[in-house]
Amino acid sequence: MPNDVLLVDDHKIMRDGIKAILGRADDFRVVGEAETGTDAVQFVKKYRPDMVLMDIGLPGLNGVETTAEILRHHPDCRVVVLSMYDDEHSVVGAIRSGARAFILKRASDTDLVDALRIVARGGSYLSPQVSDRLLSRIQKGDLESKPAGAVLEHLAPRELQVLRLVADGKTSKEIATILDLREHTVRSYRKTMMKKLGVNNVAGLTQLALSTGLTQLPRTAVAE
Amino acid sequence: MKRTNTDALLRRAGQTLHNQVAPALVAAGLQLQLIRMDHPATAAQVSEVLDVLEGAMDHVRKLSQQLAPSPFTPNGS
Repeated sequence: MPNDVLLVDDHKIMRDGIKAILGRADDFRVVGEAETGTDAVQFVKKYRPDMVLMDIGLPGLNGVETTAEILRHHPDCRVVVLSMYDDEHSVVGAIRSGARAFILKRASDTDLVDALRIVARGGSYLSPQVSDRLLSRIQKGDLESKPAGAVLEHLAPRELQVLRLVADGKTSKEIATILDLREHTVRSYRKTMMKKLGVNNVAGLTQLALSTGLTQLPRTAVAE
Repeated sequence: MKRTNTDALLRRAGQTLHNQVAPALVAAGLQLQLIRMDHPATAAQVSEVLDVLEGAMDHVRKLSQQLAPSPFTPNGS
């Protein structure tokens, strides 16, 4: 019986290519596609696929946050993260969120099907380039022992999600929709975070999110 | 002010590489891999084209990471 897979990527061209590759493998069946993290979470809650193939760089709720959210609703789901970048923070972020595999997007040859098979059997997988780089950094002793933004360490995962979306300029109402929460719950998270982080307003939260690398300046602001 | 404009332009270039050029290269690579699967006689030629694509992809990956770091990189903004 094939494993049901949900594809999550904001680029249709990528989803089409991956779907075509998986179409040649009898053991996987693409049962859905999503362009955003929010849509992916809704799909998983409704259809509970066996696996999710997740782009890390989604707009809005990113791939790491979406993975954590999916696993909160469907802990048995196996999430495989696909990334353009193989930097340590992307890899560690994905693994911390509960992903079972991290695959580097490449043009020449894909380890996608191999990785999915390993994960479907209950294993874990890192693309060779990623594991080589991690090993090399560990051997050199320069792998960070702490995640980025130590100041954010005492925030709960949910609070981190809200903080990033606040910094992205989303209103409480928009955040409530994205995270499937009530608006007053979002406002409550904001209050708690401000207290924990010692800031008094949204500008302070945004500055902190930018300075710790939790978020980046929005594309429109950068483009001007 | 000039410096800010240059920084913004460079970041925009990095984001274009990441959001548009790279996915197109990867998608082209996936399609070529399908051709190689379906037409084994073309395997050698297709593999050569894939090597060229992968070289381009490596450049794009490095350059876009420098210009518009991964959002997960501390102080990447």
